Amino acid sequence: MDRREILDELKKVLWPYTENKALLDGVNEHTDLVNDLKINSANLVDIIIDAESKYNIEIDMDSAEKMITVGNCIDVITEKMNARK
Amino acid sequence: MTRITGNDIVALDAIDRMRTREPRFYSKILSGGEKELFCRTKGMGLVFDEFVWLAWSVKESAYKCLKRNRPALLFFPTKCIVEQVCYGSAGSCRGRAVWGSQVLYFRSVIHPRYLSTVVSEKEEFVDHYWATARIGLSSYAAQSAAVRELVLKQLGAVYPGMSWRIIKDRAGCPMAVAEDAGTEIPVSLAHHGHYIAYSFVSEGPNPGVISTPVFI
Repeated sequence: MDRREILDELKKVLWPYTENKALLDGVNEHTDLVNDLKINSANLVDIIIDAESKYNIEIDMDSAEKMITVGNCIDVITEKMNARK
Repeated sequence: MTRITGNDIVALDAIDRMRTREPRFYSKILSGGEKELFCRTKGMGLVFDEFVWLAWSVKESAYKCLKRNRPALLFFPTKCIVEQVCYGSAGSCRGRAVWGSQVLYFRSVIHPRYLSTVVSEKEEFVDHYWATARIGLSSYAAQSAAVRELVLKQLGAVYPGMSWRIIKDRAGCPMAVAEDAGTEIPVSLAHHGHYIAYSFVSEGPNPGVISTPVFI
């Protein structure tokens, strides 16, 4: 999967936790999950677990804490998918 | 040096209790020692998923408290460890948590519908103002507006005659500023579902006040 494909799938992961769905239309790699998408921090663990299931990866604490922007999320997902190969 | 605070609120009707009980979920929030802490304190009235979210609220509050002076700080719940929980009467508890070498103290309200926590670097919580309220709408915009209105109302009561507004500081943390008086106070804001909460520390003009959490 390239970064564009990961981004498209990631939007589906974020969808249930984004109150204003229209914000997802404008998502790019600089989009901040909490500050831009207004996702409640209480859902961050949900997002990590859903991403683990979606991409068949395991996200450790050191990686999870870096998942602040959509670009950071794609970096972590890419790294974990590559490590799986 | 300005004393700092951090708070958090968890609306219990907005969490997924079934998912919270899944090991792969709670293992991303609780350390092994915290699971043992729950087992040792069983019977205090909290079910496991409520304990998980109590711990979350302490960790999120600790992050907000520490981030103000450490803007590059990153958050993941297992970086903060709840070491001690003492349950009081009437749905309250207090305890201690650590983030690396930093020791923090917390007080929480355990209500059937929400968990509200405030964290301080000092055990005494002197001059802490802390309140929780229920709001009608649960949209982000409604939560954000309501919690700001609530804290501004309290600041107006503590500092009569001063005009306050809320801004974000360079670390992105909320700050109450009274430009006419050249005064600023760090505030912590939290919202989840139909519940909002704030905390701040005020050392004047009524020093010595020990506030108690209030539900509005």
